[in-house]
Amino acid sequence: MSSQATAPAKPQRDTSARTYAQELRRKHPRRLISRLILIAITIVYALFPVVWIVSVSLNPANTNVVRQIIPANATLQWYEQLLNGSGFPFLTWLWNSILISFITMIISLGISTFGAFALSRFRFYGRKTTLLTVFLVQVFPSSLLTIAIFNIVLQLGEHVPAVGLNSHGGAILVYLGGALGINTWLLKGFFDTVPREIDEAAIIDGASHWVMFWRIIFPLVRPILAVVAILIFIATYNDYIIALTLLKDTSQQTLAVGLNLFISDTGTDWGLFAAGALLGAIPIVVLYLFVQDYIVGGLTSGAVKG
Amino acid sequence: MTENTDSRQTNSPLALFSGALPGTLLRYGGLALIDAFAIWLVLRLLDAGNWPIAAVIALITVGLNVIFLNERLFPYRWLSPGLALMVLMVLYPVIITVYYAFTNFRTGNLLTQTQAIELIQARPEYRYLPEGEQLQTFTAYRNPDTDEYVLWLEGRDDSSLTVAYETGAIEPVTPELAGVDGVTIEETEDGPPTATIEGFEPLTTEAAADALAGVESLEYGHPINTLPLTTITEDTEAESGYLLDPAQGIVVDYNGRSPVTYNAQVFAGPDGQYALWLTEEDGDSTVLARPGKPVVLDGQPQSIGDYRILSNRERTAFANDLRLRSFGDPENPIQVDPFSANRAGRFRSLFEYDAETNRMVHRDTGVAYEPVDGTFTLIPETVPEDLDEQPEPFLTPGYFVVVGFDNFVRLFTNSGIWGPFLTIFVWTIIHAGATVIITFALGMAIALLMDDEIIPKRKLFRSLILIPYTIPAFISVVVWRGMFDPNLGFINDVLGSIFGTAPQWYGNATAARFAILMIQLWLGFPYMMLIVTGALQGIPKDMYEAADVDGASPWQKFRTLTLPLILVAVGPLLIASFAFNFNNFTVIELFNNGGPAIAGSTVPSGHTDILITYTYRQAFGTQGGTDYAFASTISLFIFLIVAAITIINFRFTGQWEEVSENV
Repeated sequence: MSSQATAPAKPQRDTSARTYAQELRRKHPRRLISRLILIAITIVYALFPVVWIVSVSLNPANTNVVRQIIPANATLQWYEQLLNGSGFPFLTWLWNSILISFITMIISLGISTFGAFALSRFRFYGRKTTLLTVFLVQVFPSSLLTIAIFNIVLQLGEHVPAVGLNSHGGAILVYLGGALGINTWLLKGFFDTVPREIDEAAIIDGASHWVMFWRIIFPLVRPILAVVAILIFIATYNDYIIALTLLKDTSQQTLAVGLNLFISDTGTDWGLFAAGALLGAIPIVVLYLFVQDYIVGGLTSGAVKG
Repeated sequence: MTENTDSRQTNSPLALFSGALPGTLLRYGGLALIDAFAIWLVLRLLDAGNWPIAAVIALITVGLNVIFLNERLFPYRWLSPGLALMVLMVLYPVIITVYYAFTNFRTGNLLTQTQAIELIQARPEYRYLPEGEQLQTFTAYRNPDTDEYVLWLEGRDDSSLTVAYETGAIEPVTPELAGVDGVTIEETEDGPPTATIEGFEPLTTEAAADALAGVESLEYGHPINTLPLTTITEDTEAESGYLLDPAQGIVVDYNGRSPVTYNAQVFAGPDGQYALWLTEEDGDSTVLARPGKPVVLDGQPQSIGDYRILSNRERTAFANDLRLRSFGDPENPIQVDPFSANRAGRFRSLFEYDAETNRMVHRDTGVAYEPVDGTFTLIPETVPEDLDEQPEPFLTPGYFVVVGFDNFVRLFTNSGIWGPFLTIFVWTIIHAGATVIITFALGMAIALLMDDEIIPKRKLFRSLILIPYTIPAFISVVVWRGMFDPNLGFINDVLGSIFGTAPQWYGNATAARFAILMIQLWLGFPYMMLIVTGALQGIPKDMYEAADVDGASPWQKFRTLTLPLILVAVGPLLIASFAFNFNNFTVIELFNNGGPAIAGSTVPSGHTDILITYTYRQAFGTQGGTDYAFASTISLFIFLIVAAITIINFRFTGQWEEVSENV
């Protein structure tokens, strides 16, 4: 919060930086051109699989052979088929992915925020142990525990089908197991930057802990909560192993499991796959570009990609 | 370090008026609901024999009660949902995985002992007919909606027909049940039997032809057992089902291999309904068809209530299923003879469980079986000398027990497991290490390239380069699979046109590993670029000015200044990346399922398998069965390595000190 004080000085520096950059470009045209060429090569390397997807998705031949970027007699037929019924419930998969990720995001964010609030604002017996536990949870992500998790969900599901195998509830429950993990740790760090004097004043005024949380802390940390929410959503959307283990019915599966069925031992529907891949990837790519600056700071510790 | 810095809400006088009472009600009400649900669930789980998970749920519930009933523990209320889920879905799974590693939990041993004994005693192969019991000929009927059967049982004399239900009831067959109420059938001396039906008038052939002139079809029987009869008209060419020709007074049944002709007597009933009495021309078969009643073929109804008689095809398809069912009195049920398709009787299991000695004993010969590692195994001393046949060495299924270090012994001593395991273990480490090194090298190179103010639109370029990292891996890996396709793929297309030859990315182990690293490079370099960019922002510029003064070359500056500073900043993230790729299931599984297979391996294993995909294959991968115990044993190795990585990371960053100081 204290960094706000220095903010007004920034525009000035930016202006001078821009002139400095222009100066550089004028003085070293060779350096500029060589750098731009290298960057162009990098971008081509980074994007050619994306071009491949687009090309395959427009190719009426339903093939993974790519000879031209925009194929002759390009078509939107695969997109139409995906949306109008292709024998694969693509829209159901997309909806399942979004639904599961969204519910997980909301509940997980709640759990993390409450946990971080307690760890940041209260001093209590066992706090140190809890902090360490929270930090250690990420050591054993659910992907390492599939055997146990499969059997737990199987046993629970015999009595409570809503959290059993093939249910979205079961998958969400598993995803929530790690809610009190790295994100809580992260949020606690941000909560710690809010001075404790503020809540002491609130307590003297008779505010309850809930009021303190909702009225004072929450509004101050809202932006970072949005970032964490996006990261949770992406991580859940990208999960493959848990969804593969728990969701066996085609109609219950998520995009991560379903999309792979286009290209299985029996079928090679490259056209449908490419169209689905593009539609399924765009929301996540956009969300990522929103939060890329936070990844620069090492916020996610490399653990968000699932 | 005490609680006094935060006064509790209940101590505040204002809080009393600001909804503390509804809050309390809500808390106790919610807690009561959770408790009620937990008690119900724990009892059900205990009943099913799943005591470990019942214990965990009980523990969690007790914990929640303690937290919410003790005012002093109020901070834990905020933590409780997360802690509860963590215990259920992380801590308990870790513990149970370790436990599984010391058991025989695999196909053939998935049940509790009680369940296994029940199944052994229910096995048709272990059935015998005690003395004094008689076999009865049966006909089976099935309800397709509930998947339940009834048996139509013929006693020793024809008069004692009974119907036995799976629900336990046995009923004598009444005329109503048999579909012949109100029908009198009389044998004639020199012709087929004749029938009179209450409420219906027999028609002469001419009258029947007139009456049925405009009728296209007649349908009989229960809705699920229709006997559609098609009246033959001049333009009927199709010959299928039952075809009625009223003018000739015959019905031809085209359902079988060869058509069967019946003489048909048509009856007229009220409301324009018709009944039929068919007698086979060259045989003894009879068919009685009345509206609203089951069709009766040779005195046997084709349906009983919602149950439908099994067709020939169904009799074969459901034979094994039917053998597992029990009918009538559950204490002494009627079951189907395992060695005959149409006889049933009150069988008993050959094996009796003796709880005192924990043995299964053969009722006839006295041969006994005792549990060895969860399987009832023959005790040779109990086999009588005069026994003709050698008894079976084991009774299946077995059950689930702790077997100590058996799985570890198997892993280390079975060369068909140990060899492939070592290959996989080494590749797991190489894969993770190489991935981190190459992605870091390329990512850093690009970050350094971009770290020059001369470049315009840097933010845009950076966003474009970031795209590979942002595309979900479950999509990009399959895309690469398409591009690496040895026959049609883009990569071999290019390589082929340049070099005239290209590797078999899926068949050759080295090529497959190389392909995976190439995919990893593409997937991971943007992330490295991003974090190195972050690290570069933290390096003070004046250090370079000092180096310039000393006349350092750019390479010297990089080697002695930039690289060490970057490594210090991103070191923990590199270790985290190593840990992540150590367990990168998605990439390996979606690219080639760990292939190509390692020759001579006893358990499924591939050259590009990493420990986690190898584990997964043992647990879920094979069609034939599952080996949770062995998979858990491998998981322990993953746990150990991941824990070691974490400790190294802690040391590296001093994060533990940070945790300690924070309190």
